[in-house]
Amino acid sequence: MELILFIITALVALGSAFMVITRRSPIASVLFLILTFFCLAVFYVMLGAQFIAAMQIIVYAGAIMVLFLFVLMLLNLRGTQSWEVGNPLRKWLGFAAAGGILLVAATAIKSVGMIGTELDPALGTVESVGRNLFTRFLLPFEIASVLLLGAIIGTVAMVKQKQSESAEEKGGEEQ
Amino acid sequence: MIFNPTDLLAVLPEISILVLTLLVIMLELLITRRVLVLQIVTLVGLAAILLITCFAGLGSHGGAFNGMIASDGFSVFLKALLIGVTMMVIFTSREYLRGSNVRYGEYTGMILIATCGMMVLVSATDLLTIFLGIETMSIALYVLAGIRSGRARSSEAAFKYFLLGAFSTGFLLYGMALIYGATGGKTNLTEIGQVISELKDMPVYLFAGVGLISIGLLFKVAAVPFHFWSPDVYQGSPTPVTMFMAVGPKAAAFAVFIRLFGSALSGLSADVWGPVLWVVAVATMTLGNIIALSQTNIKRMLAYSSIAHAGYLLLAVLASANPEVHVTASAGLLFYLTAYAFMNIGAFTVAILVSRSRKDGDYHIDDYQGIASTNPWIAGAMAIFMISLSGIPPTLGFFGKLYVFSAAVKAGYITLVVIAVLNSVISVYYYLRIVVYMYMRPAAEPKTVLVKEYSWAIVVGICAVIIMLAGILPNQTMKKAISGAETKVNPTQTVIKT
Amino acid sequence: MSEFWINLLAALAKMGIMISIVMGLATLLTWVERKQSAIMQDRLGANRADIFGFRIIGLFHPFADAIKMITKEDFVPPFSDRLLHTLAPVIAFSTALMVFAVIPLGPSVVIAGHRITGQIANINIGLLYIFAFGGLAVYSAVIAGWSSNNKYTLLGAVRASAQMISYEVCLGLSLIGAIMIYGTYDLTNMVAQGQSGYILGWIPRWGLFLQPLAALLFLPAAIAENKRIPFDLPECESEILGFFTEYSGLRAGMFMFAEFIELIAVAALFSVVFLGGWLVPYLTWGADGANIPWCAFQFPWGGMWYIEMWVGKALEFGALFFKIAFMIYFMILIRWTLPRFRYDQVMKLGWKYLLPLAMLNLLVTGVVLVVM
Repeated sequence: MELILFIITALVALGSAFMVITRRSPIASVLFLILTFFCLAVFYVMLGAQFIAAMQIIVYAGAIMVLFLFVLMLLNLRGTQSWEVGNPLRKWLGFAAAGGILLVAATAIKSVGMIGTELDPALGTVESVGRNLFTRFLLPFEIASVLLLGAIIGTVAMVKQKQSESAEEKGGEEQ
Repeated sequence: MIFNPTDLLAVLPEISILVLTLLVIMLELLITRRVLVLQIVTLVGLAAILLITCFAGLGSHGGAFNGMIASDGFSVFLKALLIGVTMMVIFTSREYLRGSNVRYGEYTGMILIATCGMMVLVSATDLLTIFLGIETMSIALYVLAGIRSGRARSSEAAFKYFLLGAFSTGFLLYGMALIYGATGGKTNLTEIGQVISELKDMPVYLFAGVGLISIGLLFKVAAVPFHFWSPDVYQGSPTPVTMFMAVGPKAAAFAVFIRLFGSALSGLSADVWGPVLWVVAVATMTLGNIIALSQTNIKRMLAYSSIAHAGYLLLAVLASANPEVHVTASAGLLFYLTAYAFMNIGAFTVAILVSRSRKDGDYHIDDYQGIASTNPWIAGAMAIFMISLSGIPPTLGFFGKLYVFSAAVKAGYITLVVIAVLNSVISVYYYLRIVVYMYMRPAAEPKTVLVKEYSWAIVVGICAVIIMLAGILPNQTMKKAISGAETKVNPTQTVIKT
Repeated sequence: MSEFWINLLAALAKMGIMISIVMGLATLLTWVERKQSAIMQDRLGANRADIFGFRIIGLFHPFADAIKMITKEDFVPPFSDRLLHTLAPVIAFSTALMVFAVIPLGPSVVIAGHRITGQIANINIGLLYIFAFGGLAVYSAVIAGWSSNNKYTLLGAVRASAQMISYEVCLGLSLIGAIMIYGTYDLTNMVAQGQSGYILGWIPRWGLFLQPLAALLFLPAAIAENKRIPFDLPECESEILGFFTEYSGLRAGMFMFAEFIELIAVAALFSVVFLGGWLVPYLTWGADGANIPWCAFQFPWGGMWYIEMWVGKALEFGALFFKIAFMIYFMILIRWTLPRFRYDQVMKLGWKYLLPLAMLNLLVTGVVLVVM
């Protein structure tokens, strides 16, 4: 039963991930990426990490992809221009490098073998995650809050300009 | 148990920097917009934090917060260095940003947050803390690189830095995940070291993990072949930010290198990362020096020279994997980082001085022609910086290279040291070219007085004095560095509370 | 294995019941809205639709609306993305419905020896699920506005998503206060905890009394999420164009239906979290010495009034329904009383007033919890 669900979800995930990189229109790519995240959330639930699954949808599919969609809408990117690679050698070099990484990954996975999924379902609950977050991982948690603070202040600092600079810009460009 | 109250002493510097950040931002918002007041508050705060750091370092040494960070002499040394660097950057920024639309309070807040991230990074002994420190530092720096967002160059610099930095963080994280899996679920560096020393056959993805982590870290220090962002970002950012960027992240990232590669992964050095870093170090030094030869923009030249210095520092990392030389190599790294910090800050500040004296504010090398006749003190200071950067005695730079190279020789990397010395010789050309321009060329036009702003002159003076004094008496600094390196929490001291 | 099939059967049955109740209620709500607004405004309201001359105070109007919408022309604006244009109402509708998977519509009953809870999915992360799918509703507005190939609808979509994102934060924070008090994300568990004792001896431990500020903040945030007046700037069609201007017929019908379903969801959520769910004040269940269960009204002055078990259960189902109906009535009341906020007022309210208050609520709740 679980195997069937896993196979279906895996096929959908791989398919939508493939569609993300092959679509012409960026909006379609974004929507397929959201579908991929949903499939990832299903994987997390199957592994017993329900909290992470909810976080995946709330944060990734619900906030970050909205940001992506916003940017695409406001920049009015419709994907009508095609991408030209300057030197075809670069493309083949990229394929070779990606193939190398795939080879390493495949060897690594083959060497591990099958791991029994003895997963403790109590580990994925909100209580367990919360307890660990506030005792064992307290310092990284707090540093993450500093990181977010820095990001918020920095974004506003970069964007909000006094009126004088844009007027100054009209007159010369310095280095 | 949650945490030991004494652990708070270990993070007291970071907490106080955060308090200062919020204070400065609130101050600008609510009370005053006068930049001088903000700057004085920041500098006084930073001086207090320096005292707090040294005081916190007097406590017991060991792990803190369940092994997430370490409180030891190594991190205290680097934290003090970072605070000194930040003070000088703040000192320089006020006059530089005068007339631009950058809000000084937020600018200072971002610099302080970057410093906080770096301080976390230098004391991090866990993969999680390393990642968070790198991200905090990087995000603050992305913002700072682009903070003059009205100027195209600044936005270009921020954009490049952000894109490439985000990618490299992705590699870093993937490497951390692979190492986590390979060691059976350990993120603490000491535990990783233990697991690796007990492993009989290395799983392939441990190698992959180490490789990916090194990609992320090598990007941060702008080593070849991940250096392409460095000259453009250094050139485009506002120069105080460039100064900060050239010194701080390198110091913090090399601290991570020593803790990660020197201690935890030292067992793998012979087979896995030793040869790779060897090649990277050679390529970095050589490429950095050779490309710097043809630069005509002083900021780009200093950027490529930073790349070359990162190559020299990688020698210290390679040497530290050898357990006998570990302490000497770490101490050498600390010493070199101190020298490097002051040299670069001084050089960049003189660059600001010279560029601001011209109407168009260009950073061309030809501006330095004949400065010695009009401003002998500035020229003398710049000469000291250039001589120190190229490693000519009796400056601090020379002793830094001496200690690092001798540690590498003791660890057995003789060919590498020979290549490094040859590279130092090559670098003499472009460093001393500036000195030649200053002293032996006539001035192109009647020069006006350079020193319009006293704060820049103060910074230049401080750096020059430190370099000369500490260069003549290197032992004092070296003693501090060695004591710092000795108390570094190393793999035999496992202090992890669960 | 039979446990699995029984659970599956129960879940399917609950799904069927839930969908029929919700959809039926949403259909009824179209009529309720018109009639209640009419009564408030001292007029007759819609009362023309009839079948064979029977008007029944206009109750046939929902059917008339449905027939009208189905038979209208299915128009997709030219040069727009057809697939996305069709996708937007689907997303709105489905995310609104999916929220009901974790909202309990009644207490647990024991049927044939198996305990069946009132919610379809008993997951540990109940409220987080609601945050997740409530947050996905932003996509419907964004995609609707963008795919209409109309710059005014695009601006409407940007307004809508900015408003929804801003109030999502406040919504979450106000609910976290309740989560802190009850210590669980599971809604059935939350309601069950409301039964344990009384404050000051006679006030039941409902969220409204334990977290008054959170309840006060939840309601505007939820109404803003729902894009109802006073926050319906994104969709006011007559003054400025909203994001579903280019939608007509059944597509627009789906949007409006989705809005009503969200209304029911908000009302149900508020009732369950803050109004004590299906708990009737002073109604307690117990078992005496011989483990025979009883059900009684246990008044604070000491009197006990025993009632039948099935009467108790029926009272509980009825109580929840009554609370949901009351909240719906209240929100329709607000809709027809208040004027619309301007965009800057909406943003100011969300970020400068509601968010700091929500955080203050969290702080005070945390301090109180630590002290006690």
